[in-house]
Amino acid sequence: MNNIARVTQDSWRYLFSPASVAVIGASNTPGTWGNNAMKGLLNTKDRHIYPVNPNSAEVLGKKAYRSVTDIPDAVDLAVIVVGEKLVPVVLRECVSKGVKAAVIITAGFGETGEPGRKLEAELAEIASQGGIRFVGPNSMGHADTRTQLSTFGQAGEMPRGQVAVLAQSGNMCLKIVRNLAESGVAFSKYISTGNEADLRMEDYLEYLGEDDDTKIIAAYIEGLRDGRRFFQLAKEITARKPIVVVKAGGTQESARAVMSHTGALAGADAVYTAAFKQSGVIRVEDDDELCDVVYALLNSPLPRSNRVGILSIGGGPGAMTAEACEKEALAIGALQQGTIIKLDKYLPSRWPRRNPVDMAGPSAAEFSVIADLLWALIEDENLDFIFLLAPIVMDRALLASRMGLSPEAIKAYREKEEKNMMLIREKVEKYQKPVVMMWQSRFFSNDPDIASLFRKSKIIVCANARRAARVMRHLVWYRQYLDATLGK
Amino acid sequence: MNNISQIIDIAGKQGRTVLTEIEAKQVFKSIGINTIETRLASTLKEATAICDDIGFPAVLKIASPDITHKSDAGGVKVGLNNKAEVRKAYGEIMASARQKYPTARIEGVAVQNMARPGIEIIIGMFKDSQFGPVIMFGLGGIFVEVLKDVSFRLIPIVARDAEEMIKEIKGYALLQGYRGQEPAHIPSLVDILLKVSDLVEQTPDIKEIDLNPVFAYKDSALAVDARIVLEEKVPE
Repeated sequence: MNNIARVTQDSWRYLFSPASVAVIGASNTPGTWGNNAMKGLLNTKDRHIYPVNPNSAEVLGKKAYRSVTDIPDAVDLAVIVVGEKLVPVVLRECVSKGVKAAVIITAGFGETGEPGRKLEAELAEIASQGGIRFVGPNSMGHADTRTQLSTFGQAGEMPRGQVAVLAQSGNMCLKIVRNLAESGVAFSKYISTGNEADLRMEDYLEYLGEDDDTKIIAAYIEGLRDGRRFFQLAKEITARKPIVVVKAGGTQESARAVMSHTGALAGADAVYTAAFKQSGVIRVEDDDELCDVVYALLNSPLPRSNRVGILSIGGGPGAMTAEACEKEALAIGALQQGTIIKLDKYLPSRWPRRNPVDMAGPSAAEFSVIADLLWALIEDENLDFIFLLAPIVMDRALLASRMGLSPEAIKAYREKEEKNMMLIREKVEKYQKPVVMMWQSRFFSNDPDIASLFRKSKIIVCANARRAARVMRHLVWYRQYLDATLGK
Repeated sequence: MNNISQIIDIAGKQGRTVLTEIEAKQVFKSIGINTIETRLASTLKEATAICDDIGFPAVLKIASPDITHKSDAGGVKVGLNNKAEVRKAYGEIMASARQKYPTARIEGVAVQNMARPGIEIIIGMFKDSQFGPVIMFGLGGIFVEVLKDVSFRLIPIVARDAEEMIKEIKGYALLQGYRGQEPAHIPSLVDILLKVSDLVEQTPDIKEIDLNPVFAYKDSALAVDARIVLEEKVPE
């Protein structure tokens, strides 16, 4: 069908760093797609934005044009948000205008049935004849933080980062982006790929594999159009940057939902699983797990193997964590004799002298004690990573009420906490052993200080032991995949 | 490989997309997979002579390019211990086949030894619309039918993939021997998987493969039944 021609660098440039953008279907009505897209694009002044709307003289203070062909200057990118029946007409106008790339936000195509599929095929045909590459239809937009381009309609400056998100669902795309952003993760690019009538998951993957801004690729996949090509690309890319995938369609009902959703073929799930495994793609269960894994990959070295050391403030959390670890096929490492001797110095004589290490109650104020224990575990050659279950960070409410600290004292306490976290960070780097902390969540929205502390110190933080164990299983697996395939 | 392309050519010329059991076994034998010896007997006399040669107990199966579901056609008799039983079985197979498939071309019977029982394994290949050729490994019998205890990899595979897919099945413990049963020789199974992968890579004409069962023993593995389906040839 279409898509035989590989996407050129020029096409990608027009898509992600256009000098001029036309919004066809731009609107003054707040809440409409045509209004959102305009607002997002007006974030930066470095780009010409041309609203197209035959019924308004102006949109958001910009002179509006009746048709894209009336725009006096060249147009690199068109954002199309008109009714679905009008899209072919508008796309033809884009061709005659010499537009280079497009994002079709409009829905109502292949995902709705046969007439929609025909209309969608028509778009692909018009674009391929006219030399336009496009995202969508049924896309929610695309964004590039380097060029501050967003067709999603978000307002405000986008911080630059190293994570790219590809999603065959616009809602999942934004959910993942928001979740990670709250954990302090920034992005290189993110794309709601829509129905992929022209540009497909495989094309974006190929591009992001070569993209210097992107260090980690996260993807939400419902079905691939060229699985073999995905496999070959992934195999090559995962050797240098991780790919984390959540794929829907693993159960019969979800497969049906996917089918009616994007009209993609949800292939046999077991074959997808095999393809991911064989190409080093980390497959996760859901978007929360995806975010956990991306966060960990971004902030931590990969563990050498699967032996965990658990350092817990009390017996209960340690037991829960040990159980979660075993369920995820992680091994509770046997402490070296030297470590036990070291720990004897710091712990009451009744400590059980094995992993999980129960600190039996030092208070959070005694970070020095916790630190000595933690360093001893990090230095233990039988352990590949450490789960730290201790409140070495406390939220404002606790500090004020239980410890009776004044706002100034809280500030000083925070500084101490930050120093402690940075000390842990140094050890993590030095020994290349991840340390994972449990916290209610990574963002802890009641206390923004804590969120920023986590961001700065780049320690892996997980909401509970099960999620932490799952993350580490994925990281161990990826490390072992790399070791086996790269012959390390 | 020459041997293989000849077999495929002959099937193509006869307008067949399914190789006979004997042809399929020749293919696997030629790539070095340990396959139970199976010979074609076009007469009763030949059948008994082959049995004399390979020994008892024997298995007789209808040999016809037009009959793929041999058991349904009453075309399989196992555990034949002497010439008299072979004679009786031969007669019954022919009668049943002619009755159920009156128009089928019948070449005779495939005669083979009754294989010593081992752990039943199934190894297969099919072409996925998205990912192309996929190789499958599983425990045979009820494990594959009821529990769907199988693992997959895309072809081509390397030794590590083959080892992983064997370890991945839930019934892996059964392969390691349990309750005094002898374990399966994993390296032999890895070897079959790799050879099937190679065969498929070099023979795009093959559409599906079924090695079902393969018997795994403590020091070897043996393909007991084999099936190969070819791609539909586009008329030139």
